[in-house]
Amino acid sequence: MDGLTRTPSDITRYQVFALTAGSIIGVGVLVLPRWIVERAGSGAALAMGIGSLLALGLAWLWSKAMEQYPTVGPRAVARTAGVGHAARVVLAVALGGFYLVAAAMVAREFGEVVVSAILTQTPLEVTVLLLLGLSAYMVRQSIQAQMRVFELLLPLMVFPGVLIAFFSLQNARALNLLPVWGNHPSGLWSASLIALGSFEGMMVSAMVVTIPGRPRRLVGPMLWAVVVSLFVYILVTTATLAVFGPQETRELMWPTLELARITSLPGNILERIEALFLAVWVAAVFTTLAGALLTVAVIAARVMRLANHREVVPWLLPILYVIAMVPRNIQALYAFLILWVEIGLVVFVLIPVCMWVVGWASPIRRRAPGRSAAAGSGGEGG
Amino acid sequence: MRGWGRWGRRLVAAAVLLLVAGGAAGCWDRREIEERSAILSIALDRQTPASPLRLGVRIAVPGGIPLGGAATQGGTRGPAATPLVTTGETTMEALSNLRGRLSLAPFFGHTRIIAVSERLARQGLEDVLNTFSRHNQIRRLLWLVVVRDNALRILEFQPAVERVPTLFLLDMLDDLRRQGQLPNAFFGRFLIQEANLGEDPAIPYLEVANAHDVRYQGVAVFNGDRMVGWIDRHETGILLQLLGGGRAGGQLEAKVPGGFVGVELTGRRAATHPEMRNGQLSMHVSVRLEGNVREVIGDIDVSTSEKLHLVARALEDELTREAYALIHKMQSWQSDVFGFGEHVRAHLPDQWDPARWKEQFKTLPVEVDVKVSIRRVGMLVR
Repeated sequence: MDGLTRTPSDITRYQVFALTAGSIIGVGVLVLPRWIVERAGSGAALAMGIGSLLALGLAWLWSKAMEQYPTVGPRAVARTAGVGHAARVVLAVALGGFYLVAAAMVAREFGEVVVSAILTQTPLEVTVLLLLGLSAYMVRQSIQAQMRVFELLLPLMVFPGVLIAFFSLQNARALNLLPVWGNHPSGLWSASLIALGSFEGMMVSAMVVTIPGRPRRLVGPMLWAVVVSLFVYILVTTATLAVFGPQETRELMWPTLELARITSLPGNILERIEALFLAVWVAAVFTTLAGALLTVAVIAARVMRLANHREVVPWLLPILYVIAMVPRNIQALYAFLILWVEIGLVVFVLIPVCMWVVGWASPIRRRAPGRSAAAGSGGEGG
Repeated sequence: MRGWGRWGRRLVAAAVLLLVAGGAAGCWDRREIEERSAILSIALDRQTPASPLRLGVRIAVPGGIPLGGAATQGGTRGPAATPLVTTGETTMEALSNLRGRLSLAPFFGHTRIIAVSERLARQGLEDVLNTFSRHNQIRRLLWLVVVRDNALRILEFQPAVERVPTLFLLDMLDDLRRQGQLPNAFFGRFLIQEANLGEDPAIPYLEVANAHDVRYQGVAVFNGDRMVGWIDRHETGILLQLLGGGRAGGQLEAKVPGGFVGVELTGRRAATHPEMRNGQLSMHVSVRLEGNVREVIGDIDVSTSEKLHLVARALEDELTREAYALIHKMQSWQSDVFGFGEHVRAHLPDQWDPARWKEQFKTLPVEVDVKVSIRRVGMLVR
């Protein structure tokens, strides 16, 4: 099998959408405004916009690349394109490795935020282990159960998140958003790339969900997930910049958290909105981690020719924990995270480009998607 | 887990669940609300840069704060909050010395006011406040105020109508802000304005007249993190007119030919435009005010629209003159409380040079244009 599911009825289009959006919107929300503002200054909103357009372009590129093939997924691509077994393993290990380290970093960042801002006495190890254990438990469930969780959590994190961002605008100043291209426009480009990097979770569903012969059923929800995430990202970045300005934003470890801390709901309903924000954020972190972990498990099971990805999960847990504990301090963690985002950019741009080029050059592309359904599913029984 | 038997597996599952339940409950940070000393306000004083920092706190006495509106009036059974003073070389040291004087760990989540002495503010506040802006419990929405002479005297303050002095001051400042007589200068805003390169902070300036009387005198103005002077309530009103925004408020007493007229402001807007004319940077501020006549002293006629117009013109002349006086005062103090620099950065980024801004600001030509509209004259016709 090339993925977890073989028939379109297994997973609804909304679930693919929720899985993708849940995997994109994650722990990075807290630090993203700082990363962007550090590079683009008051041009952060524009950089986020450019990055979002690039992300849409990337999603389109993936969909084009996938349309070249009767079945979706890099392994199928490698196989049909005539690339050898070794190359396939390298590709799978690269993707799996990327999401493995990304998942570990998500867990570690979660722990760092919790120990710095909320539970200062609780050991970091406990927080990280709890989150990892919970995600591992989730990934061991049936795919339908997991999709239900994504389905449920997505609206619970998007709507309150948007609400908080809107209420935070009570302290906003339009002057902070000017000039729109920033006072040092040279940083706009690198800021846009980091913004694009914040969408790296979008490939999770392309790895996990396979719908033979119907790539379009996957592409639509993926694009919508990117659209919803870019809306959330642009709103959060713009609100943070408008409230804190280009100078103070880069001083703050987690500008978005500070934004929630200086926002109160009118009429003394909730004087400290940060409690609501943190609840939303925990859901966002959990879906991102679970999505990445699921991807790693699926890829690992495929590489090791196991029938079921569930058996891999318990073995992944200690590896994840060890990787999560590698950064020596919070500054090392963020230096590494930004490096990882940049590596991810290379991975996620190169793969679809190679897929597309190889597909374009190989005879496979002559197969029309409609006719290929039977042949595709028959040929992919690994 | 194969071969462990059904009961063996159940036992393992039960053990894991117990562990998770123990960890997830967050025992490390468990702290009952009665087990901490809630710090309501903090006062900071340092006589000379060489002398030690004195830090005073007012702690809520557990059970001493009456709940419910009726109970806050009167009641003379002991104080609801008690003051305590420690010293240290730095703020953090003074705070940690507090630990040896309190039975319970201090909690800063309810701190609403940080008061600093004028002499300390004139030495610079950045180092003194650093530990607060870094602290995870300190709210950015609290009030940072400057107190004439010694800020510790504010700890002796005991108002007659409110049992918790901090809440009295908090309500007073919030009310002044709502009335539009005080800029919305909360702690987070101070940090933002201090961080911004083209803007300087202005925060409330209080005077402790005696143990029952604390007076709002105006705002303390800063150059960076150093206080350079203070302006009285009338000048603060002029400053707020030049800044625009926020809720309009306050009464204006203006000398017009024939006597005095008192106008209550109901609307206030301002627009600031930086301009380049013949290679010279200049600032244009247009102020639009709306108000109602509340008092007429002397021989002034407000009985017709034309006469009201004349009063408005006289008021405009008076306000324009005072605006220029305030701007020149701020220029001589090198305190850009108007945020002119931020307007240059935002609208004329080519002309923006943070390194040169303070020099430019000193001699910056500013043009002020005030328009007053008087709508109503109260319950008397003339």
